[in-house]
Amino acid sequence: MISKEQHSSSFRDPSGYIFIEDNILKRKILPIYFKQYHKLKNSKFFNKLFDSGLLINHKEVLVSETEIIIHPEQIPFVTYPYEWCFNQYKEAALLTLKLHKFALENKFSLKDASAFNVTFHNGKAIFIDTLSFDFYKENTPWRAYKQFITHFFGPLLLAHYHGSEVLKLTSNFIDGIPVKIIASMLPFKTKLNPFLYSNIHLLSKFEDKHNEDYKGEAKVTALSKKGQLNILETLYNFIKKLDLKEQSEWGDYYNKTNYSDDAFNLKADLINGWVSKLNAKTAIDVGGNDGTFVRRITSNLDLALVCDIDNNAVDYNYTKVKKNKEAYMLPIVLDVLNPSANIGFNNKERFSFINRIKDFAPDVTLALAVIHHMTLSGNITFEMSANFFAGFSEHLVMEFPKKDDSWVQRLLKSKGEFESHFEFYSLENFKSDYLKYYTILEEQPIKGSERVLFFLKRKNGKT
Amino acid sequence: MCEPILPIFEEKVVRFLYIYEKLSMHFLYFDPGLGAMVIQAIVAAVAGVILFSKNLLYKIKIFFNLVKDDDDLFDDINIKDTDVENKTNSDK
Repeated sequence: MISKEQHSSSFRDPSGYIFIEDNILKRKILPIYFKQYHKLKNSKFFNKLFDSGLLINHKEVLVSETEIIIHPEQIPFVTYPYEWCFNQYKEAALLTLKLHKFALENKFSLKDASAFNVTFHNGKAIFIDTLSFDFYKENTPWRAYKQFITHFFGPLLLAHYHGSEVLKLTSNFIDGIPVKIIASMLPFKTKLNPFLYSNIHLLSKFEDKHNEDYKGEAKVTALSKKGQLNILETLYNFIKKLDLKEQSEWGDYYNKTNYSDDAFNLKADLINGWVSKLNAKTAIDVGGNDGTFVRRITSNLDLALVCDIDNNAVDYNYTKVKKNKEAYMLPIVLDVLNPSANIGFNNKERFSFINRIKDFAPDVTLALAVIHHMTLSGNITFEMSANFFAGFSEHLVMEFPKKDDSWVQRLLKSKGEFESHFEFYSLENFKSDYLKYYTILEEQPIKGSERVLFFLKRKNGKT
Repeated sequence: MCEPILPIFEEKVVRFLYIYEKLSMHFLYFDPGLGAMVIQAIVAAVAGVILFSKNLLYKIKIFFNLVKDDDDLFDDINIKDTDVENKTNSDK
């Protein structure tokens, strides 16, 4: 794609916009922001942000009187807030506060605290909107305070009280969950906590009170820098200690599976052998749980997306990624039966998971013990799932649990009298449908289990 | 709990802390929320009390040797000079 046209996701901030040129994402800065940009650059604040790993790095490629073009470091796969696990969300919130505090100390201010300004790159959260900084004006409050509450603090609090599934709400509220909704969903005891009362409940009341000031008559209260730093520090300390009430049980997940140690190791070795033979640099594991099988791959992957529907499993994986400093692994919350949609203005502001994964086109897809859930729980036929997987990746490693597998039996039994509808679930039917889209490179029964591992290559023209 | 005194406090803060200078409208491309701009003085006052009492508690704990090293996933809010100079914050 060769175009200097404004990217459909970049229209809110008049300071500039991003565009794609020769498949490279670049950022154009408009004269309205020149003063800020030069100060950020000349005061070396940009360099400090790059060196501390808080802001995505960029290089200046063109400076003229009408525009400045910068070339930011490219991020191969951008994830959105509603695809983050709890600790990723927490890290993004802490990064935003840290960034604003650092900006204040350097006489700047973070003018925009949208959660979409953060994504995950090289195993950690990073701020990606280079133009979100403005000059700090003495005694003015933080104009992105409410945005921080509705984009970060509110969703995290709701997740703390109601479970991590609540974070999915953020896909419906692209401008943050309204304070009134956050306040109404919190338990009464939060009103007795002065910190939560002032940041949520009182804020909700104030917003209600002032939202009909159409003439703009009300004036803004002064707030010293010290006062603003106090707000940031208390928010940071509170969020840092925030946890989920539902505890993850995924630590011993693999102890609960129906695998013997030998079968488990055989499976991991087969996958590693096939992926290594491909010399794959990019991969996606669509039901990757805590990333166990991706970690057993010994070839050098540049980026592996490890997805799972369970926020707790993704969280467990992300904690491992942080502790082991595994920069190549990107954990993502993904429901294969309902991947994130295109949202925002004209449905072109935030892109669907399918759009992004097709662009990313990973060298290999792992679908390990996912097919029986898709088929039996999701009523997705074999042909539909084959078509789905063939849409974004050339190679597929597929684990097929046969009808006698205990998990398949459990799922079938739960269907009651509808069980007969799933008569078609057999190895033969699976193979005949998948052969329409793929050729079988290898087929290996996993000894000691009722499962078969396939290594498949997409047929030409079947994207 | 603190409901009855809040409206009086709020009114006082709003009355006495108004500044007669509007924010430059230059970069107001999203609604910062007027209520949110007004309330920050109160939020900051509450935050100040919390930080003061936490610091006091911390000093007491140090005195009685009760401070434990925490093994947190995330570090604190301050950017250390070493992070900037040596890129130690970077995972790569």
